[in-house]
Amino acid sequence: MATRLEEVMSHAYTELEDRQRLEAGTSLLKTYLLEAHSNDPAHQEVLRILTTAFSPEMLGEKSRSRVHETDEEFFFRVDTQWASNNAEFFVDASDHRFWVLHSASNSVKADRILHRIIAADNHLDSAWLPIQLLERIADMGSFRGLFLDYDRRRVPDVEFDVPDAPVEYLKMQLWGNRARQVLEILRQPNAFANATTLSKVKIKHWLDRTVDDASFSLDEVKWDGKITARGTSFQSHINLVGSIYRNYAERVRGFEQRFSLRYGIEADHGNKATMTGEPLNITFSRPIADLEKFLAAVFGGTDPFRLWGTPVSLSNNFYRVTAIDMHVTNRITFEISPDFIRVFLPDGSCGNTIIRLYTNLQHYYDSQVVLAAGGGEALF
Amino acid sequence: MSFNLKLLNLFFGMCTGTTGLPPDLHRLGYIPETVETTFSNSEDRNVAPDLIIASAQAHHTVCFEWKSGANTEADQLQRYSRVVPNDLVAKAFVHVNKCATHDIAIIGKDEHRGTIPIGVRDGGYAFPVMVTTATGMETILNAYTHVPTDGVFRPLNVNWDTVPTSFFPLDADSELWEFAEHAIPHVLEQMIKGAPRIRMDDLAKSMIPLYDRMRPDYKGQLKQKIQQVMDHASRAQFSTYLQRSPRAVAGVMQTPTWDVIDNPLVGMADKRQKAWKAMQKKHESLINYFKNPQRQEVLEMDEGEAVR
Repeated sequence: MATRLEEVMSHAYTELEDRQRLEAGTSLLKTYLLEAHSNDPAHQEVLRILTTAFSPEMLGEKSRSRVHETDEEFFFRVDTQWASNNAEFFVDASDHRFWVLHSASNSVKADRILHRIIAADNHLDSAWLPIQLLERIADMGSFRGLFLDYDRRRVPDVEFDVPDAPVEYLKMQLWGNRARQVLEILRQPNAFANATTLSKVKIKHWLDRTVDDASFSLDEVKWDGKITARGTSFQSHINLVGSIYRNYAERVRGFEQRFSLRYGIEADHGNKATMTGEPLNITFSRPIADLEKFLAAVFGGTDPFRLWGTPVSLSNNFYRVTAIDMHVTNRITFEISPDFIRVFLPDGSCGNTIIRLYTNLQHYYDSQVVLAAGGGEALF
Repeated sequence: MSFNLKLLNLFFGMCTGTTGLPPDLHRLGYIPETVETTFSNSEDRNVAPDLIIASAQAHHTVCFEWKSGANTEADQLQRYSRVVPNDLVAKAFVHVNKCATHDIAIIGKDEHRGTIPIGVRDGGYAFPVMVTTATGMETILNAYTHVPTDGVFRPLNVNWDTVPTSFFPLDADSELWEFAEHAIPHVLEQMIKGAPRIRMDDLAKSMIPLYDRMRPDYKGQLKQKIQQVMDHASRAQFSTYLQRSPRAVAGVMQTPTWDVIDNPLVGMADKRQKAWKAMQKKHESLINYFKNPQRQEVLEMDEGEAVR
C-alpha cells in the first residue's frame, strides 16, 4: 500500500513540477482523518463499522461497495461507487478510534462519498482542526501558504444588506512566505478580526532534513481533516499525519477526561455523593445578535454542527438545549445567552463534539470565538 | 426551579469557574465536595449539609445549609455547632489539607431576612447567615472565619436569570415541562441504539444525577412526574413511536415501560433525517403542552381506555 501511495505522490509532484498541471486521470494523494466510535477495539468490529458505513443504507440505494481485508490486521481497502462517484480508500484503523483513510481517486468524487457517509453514519466523524491547531501545524514544516474561509451565511442571525452589517463571507488564498503577514493585517481590530478564519495551510515537511533534503512532502492541511499531499516521500507525509493526529487525539481525550461530568457515590466513604468535571465555556467577540435564529441554525440536526435539540427559553434571552450529538448520538446540554454558551458533557461524551462545534463556530460565526475552561483558561 | 436546586447549581457553577458567574470561589480553589451527605458530629449526632465545598488553597471548608422557610431549627443549629475539623476529615471524608478551618453557613430567602438570623443570634453561634436578593446574595449576620471567603459574599452579585441549571437539572419540585424537556432526548438516545422499550427506572437514572442515592419516597415523586410525561407523550405527540407496555400496565413488569412500536431513527439515512425534523416539532409540542396551565389532562383507565 505504502509503495503505491508513494508512487501516486511522486508522480503528481513530478507532473506539477514539469508541466504545472496534472495529466487527466492523475490525482494527488488525499489523506482523511476520521474519528470512529465503537466500544470494541477488535478487527472484526472495525470491519463491521466500515461495512455498515459504506452500505446502501448509508450511501443510498444507488451505491455499491466492497470492503477488503488485507494481510495486516486493522488495514482495509474499500472500493465504492455511489451515483456517478467512485473511489478507492485505504483504511488504517490501527488506532481503533482515530482512523486514517488514504485515497488516490478523484478528489471531488472521494470527498462527496466520504461527506455523505459521515453525514449518515453515527459512528464516524471528521477530525476538526481549529485555527490555532492549523497554525501549529504550519510550524511543523516550511510554511508555503494559506487559505481563509469564513462564511456567516450558515448562521444568518443578522441582515447583511443594511449599513454596518458584519462581513458576510471572506475567502482568500495566499501563497508564499508573506502570506502570514497578510494574515496579521487582516486580524487587526480595525480590519476583519472576527471574519478571518484560517481554513488550510500548505507546508513542506521533511522526515529529517539534516539527513536527506530530497525526501519531503508538500502537504495542504485543511480544517476538516483532509490532507492533500505530493512530493518525494510518503514516509514524510505519514510522519506529518501522525504528528497532527497525535496532537488532535490528545486534545479529544483530554477534553473527555477533564470536562465530562461524573456523578458518583463513594460507598467506602460513607456514601459520599460527589461530582467531578466542569462545563466548557464559549464566548464571542460580540453578542449573538438574534438568539432564536442562532439556535435554529446550530441545533437543527444538520451539517455542519450536527447537533439536534429543542431550545427552551428559561428567561429573557437565556435558553437551554438538551441536545443530541448526531455523530455519536449521545446527549449533551447547552445553556445559551447572547454572551456565552455553557456546555455540559455527560459522562461518556465525545470530545470531538466540542472541537466540531468550536471549529464550525470559527468558520460560520466568529473567528474570535473562545473555548475556555473554568476561570477563563483558553483551551486552544 | 426550586430554591434548593437553584443554590446547588449556583455553587457548582461558581466553584467550577463557569462563565457568567462571579469567579471568586473558583479563584480561591473551592471545589464541591459532596451533596446532602449525612455525617455525625463530635457528639455522634447527625448533620446533613445541603452542600460542602472545600479549598486546599484556602485550607478551608464550608458546610451550607439552605432554608426555604422562615426559620432555622434550634436542634439542627446545635448539632452543626458541634462539628469539629476531625468530623469533616474522618466522617465527611474531606481531605485534611482542606479543613484547617471551617464554617457552617446558612442561606435563606430575602423575604425571611427578619426571621432567619434569629436562631443563630439567640443561640450565640458564629455561623454566617446570608439571604438571596434580587441581585445575588448578601451576608446579614456574622462573617466567615476565612477573610477572603467572607469577601466573596459582601455582596455576591448574580444574575439569577442566567444561573446554570444543568449540573442538577431536576428535582421533585420541577415542572412537568422540564421533565418533558429532559425525558425525550433520553428516549431518542435509546431509540437510536435500537432499544425495543424504554424502562422508567433507566430513564430516571439517566435524567437525574445521584438518583440511586435518593430515598424511595422521593424517587416515587420523581417517577410519578416522569410517568405522567411519558404516558402523555405516548398517547399524543409520540403515539406513532411509543406505546405504554400492556405488560407493564398489567403489572407483569416491575417498572413502567413504554414499547417502541415504530423506530424511524434506525434504517436508511434519508428517512432518518426527515424523522429527526419531525421529532423536534413533536418535542416542542410536548413541552408546550405541559407549559400550558389550561391543558386538558388525559386520564388512563385501568383497561387502557383514555378519558378526558
